[in-house]
Amino acid sequence: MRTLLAAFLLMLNVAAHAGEASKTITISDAWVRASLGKVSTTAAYVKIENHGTKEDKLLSVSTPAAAMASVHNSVTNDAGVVQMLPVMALSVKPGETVALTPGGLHIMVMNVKEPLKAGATVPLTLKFEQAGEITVEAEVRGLDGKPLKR
Amino acid sequence: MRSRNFVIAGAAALILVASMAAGIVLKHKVIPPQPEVAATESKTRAQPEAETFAGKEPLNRPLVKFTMKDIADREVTEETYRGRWTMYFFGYANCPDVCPLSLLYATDLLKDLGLLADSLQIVFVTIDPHRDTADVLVDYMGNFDPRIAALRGTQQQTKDITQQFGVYYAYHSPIGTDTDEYAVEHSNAFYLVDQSGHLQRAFALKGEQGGAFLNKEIRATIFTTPK
Repeated sequence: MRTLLAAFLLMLNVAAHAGEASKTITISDAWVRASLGKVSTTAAYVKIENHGTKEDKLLSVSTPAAAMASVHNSVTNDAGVVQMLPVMALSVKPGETVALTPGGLHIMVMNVKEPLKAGATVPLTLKFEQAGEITVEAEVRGLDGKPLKR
Repeated sequence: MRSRNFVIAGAAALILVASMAAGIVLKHKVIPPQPEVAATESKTRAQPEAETFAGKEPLNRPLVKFTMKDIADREVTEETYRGRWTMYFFGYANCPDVCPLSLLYATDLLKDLGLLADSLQIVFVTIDPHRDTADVLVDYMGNFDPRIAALRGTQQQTKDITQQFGVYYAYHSPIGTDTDEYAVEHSNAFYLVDQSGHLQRAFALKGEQGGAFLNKEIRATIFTTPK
């Protein structure tokens, strides 16, 4: 009985800490561009804020709506060549806000399971080194990225 | 071994882009770039370095020549758009971020130009004819202004048209298990061809420069009387 209670308290403790940790990172303005026609690749964008005192890193992203999601950066060099460079760990420093926006940092969403239509929402799970996994509902928006709800 | 391959690939990319820059700088002796079409395996690669187009405009390059097909399966050559300014840009439908943005800017531009839009033909050229079949393109282009033409060609025709513009593109290793999943790195510039078919301007949007910058550049180039 005692060990059970201890285990229970430990669990509560862990849960409380997890909650605390996840609050240091907040995700807002999550959206996915509606897939275009038969094309199965699209992109998602989020705003990440670090309210904590330690640097955190976005390590991976997943969504049940697609086979694969990963952070990339569209970089255009002086010759006008655009490359999509994979970002293995996206650093978010204490007090910093990192916004993923069209034409730059983005979450590449590959092989959507079915066409993503504007107005729908898809869960997006972001895994951070410190904060762990955070799942948000991303709104599927049209090309201009303007919010549909609110 | 991988790092050695990487060094070789990096060196090849540098030479490639250097020759591209040379092709742009020389007015009469154009050395066209050799787009690397073979799939390369490199996740971390040297970024191609080249001179900017800035300060070299008008480019006044020789006549652009090509044969492609539009999405209605009609043959399109450099003659098709003669008499109007033409804005070309290159991309592919599976491009998740930059291409839909460019097409959105082009759509907004035409809307903003109103009646003036008749003086400008916008042309999107796929550099991924393997995945961008006519069917896929019809569907894809349905999301943008219908006045934007979309062109596709065989691999050879695609290579030829990109050489005409000094456009660089390269396919990158399949990212997932499906071999049809690959990214294409490509020139992200807008190319402006005058009424007589000469490439006069090429510029890329950088950083925060968006549709408003494109709009300003187009208006300044096409609707301002040259000195």
